Amino acid sequence: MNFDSLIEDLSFDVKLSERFFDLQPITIYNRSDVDHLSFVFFQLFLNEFCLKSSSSFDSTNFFEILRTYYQTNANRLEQIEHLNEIIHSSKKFLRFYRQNSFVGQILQKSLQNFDLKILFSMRFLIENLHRSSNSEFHFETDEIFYRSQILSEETFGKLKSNIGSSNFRCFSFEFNFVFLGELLSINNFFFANQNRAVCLGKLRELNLSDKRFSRILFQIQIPREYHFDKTRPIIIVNSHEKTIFFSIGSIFRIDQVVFDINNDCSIVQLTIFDQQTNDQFNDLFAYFNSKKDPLVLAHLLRQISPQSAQLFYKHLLNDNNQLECYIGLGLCSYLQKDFTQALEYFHRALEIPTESRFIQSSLHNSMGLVCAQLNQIHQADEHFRKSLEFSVVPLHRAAIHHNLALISSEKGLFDEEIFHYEQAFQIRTNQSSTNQLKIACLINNLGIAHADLNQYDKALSYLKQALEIRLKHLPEYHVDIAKSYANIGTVYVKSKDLHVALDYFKKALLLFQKQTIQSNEEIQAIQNNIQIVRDKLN
Amino acid sequence: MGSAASLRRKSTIEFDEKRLENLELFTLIYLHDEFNEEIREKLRLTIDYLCYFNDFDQCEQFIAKRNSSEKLFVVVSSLFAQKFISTNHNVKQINFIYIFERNSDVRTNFSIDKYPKVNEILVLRSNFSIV
Repeated sequence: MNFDSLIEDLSFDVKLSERFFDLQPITIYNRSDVDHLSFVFFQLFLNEFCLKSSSSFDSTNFFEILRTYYQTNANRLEQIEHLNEIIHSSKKFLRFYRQNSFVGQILQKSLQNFDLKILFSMRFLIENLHRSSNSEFHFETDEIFYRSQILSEETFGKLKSNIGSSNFRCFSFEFNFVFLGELLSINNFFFANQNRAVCLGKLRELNLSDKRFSRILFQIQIPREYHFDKTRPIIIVNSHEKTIFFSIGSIFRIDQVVFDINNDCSIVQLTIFDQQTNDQFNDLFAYFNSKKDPLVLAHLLRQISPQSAQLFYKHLLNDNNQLECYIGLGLCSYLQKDFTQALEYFHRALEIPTESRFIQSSLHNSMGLVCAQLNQIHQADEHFRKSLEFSVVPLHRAAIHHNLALISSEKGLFDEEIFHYEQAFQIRTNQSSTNQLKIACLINNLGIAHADLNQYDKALSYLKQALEIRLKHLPEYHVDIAKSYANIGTVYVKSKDLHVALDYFKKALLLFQKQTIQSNEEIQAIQNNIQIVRDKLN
Repeated sequence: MGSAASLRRKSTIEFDEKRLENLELFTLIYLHDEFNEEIREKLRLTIDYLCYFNDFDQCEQFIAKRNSSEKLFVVVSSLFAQKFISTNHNVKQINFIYIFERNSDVRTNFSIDKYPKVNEILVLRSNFSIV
């Protein structure tokens, strides 16, 4: 055997892998905060920063980056120069994109890693591919397209737990957006085909002995009445082959997942989601529409990936936005648990004068957080109080009271703790858009505070109230429900109702074991509790 | 200390120092005694991001630093093959391993079990809030 056959094998496997892996990143819109945020981040980046721009983007930055990067790879350099020549012909460009996967790979990688420097340099490309789409097109009948795919266990697990129903469950978020459930967005351009047998054949080619991945056939339905409006167009690549090209960030509803035993793969049934017919979805972006400031994107990114956001803030930092950037940088450090660095950024921010009570309040709250982490309880208390003084937003006041309650608990001042929880509770229940889950969290903590004061009846009543809300608003196996059971069990142990405690611990254990990502510590802790109760009972 | 290794060649790692980050999806690791310009060029036609090692430990260290989303293709010589596979069989980033020798060539498509590793402490109270 010679070297060339190694190269041949390698090329084959690379082609196979890129064909199957190229759909990521997929973001699934579910109830976990981070997933929500990624979903929104991608949609926002694409909608507001790539596709809706009035001026066309410059491509020089992108080509500069690539020329430097591929300096020592003659083959790639040649491809890049060719790309540069055809960039204005959308037809040629699409063909290039299909044949040379490295451009798609770079796009995918930068989306995956939130590499905003690359992403911003690629905006011309995203816009170009997007604009070449046929925006007036619609089908005469309902059509179904197929796409074979390999998904990681993690992504597939999330997908399965978010199968949709005809009624979208809605709940509001801290910023008062309304989000919808059970949606999935595919944040890259991708091809799909009407020939089911061909797609299944491709799937079989991959010898998948690796249990961390699953074979998937996406079955995408496009209803007849669906118009490929300008927001999410597709391109008919080849009407003979019936291949279509979905634009980046296309959104689908997850209808059903079934396992096809004959073809040894899971079939995921999706329906293209019509953004235009759903006003609530548009509300999501109404807030961002008014602000084209990339800082909004940085703030959002901070909650998904503080590390990437840190670089982005540094990149954006200028004379006009110093204050917000330093606060952002401080929060990034805080989220990465570098508390000393965080405090340094916050002190820099504090030196910049501002009229805005909103910013002052938020800054002091942030400093309180860092001090709390550094065990400087008195300073933390002071900052939270200052923050409360400046605060003008009721929901923020609720959050600050919540923080003050936690500090009081650190000091062992349980009466004060309860006072602050009650304040927070009052504010939240008076708001028109109440976030039931936040309220559940407050009530839960109130329950714990009463338990600390040995007031078990009150404690149990609060904890059960929190559980009730969680059962109503969360999926039935959610980890917070398990935690509620565990808390109630703990209080029953204290009030010596051991049999009841045992029941709750068992319920908690069952749920902890059902989690896709299991926490051994939690399971261990509950098992210990069960053992302790059993020993006491004997 | 007290290692039995007798012949220790000068170790070589070769990859572009300026390119600390891979912009594409796949990384090719080539752990072999033999390496030259021709091999490099041919390999880079398949995967651009090529990292060459002739030292086992340095290769190990490099793999240990890869983040979870990376996808690795590894070519090893038969000299390193057994050791490599026994120590790396549960590295989840590795997608394919090829054992390559001038005279023989065995290709292994690897299956790896998953071990979920997440630590979350039972938090009774909810956390502080950023406003």
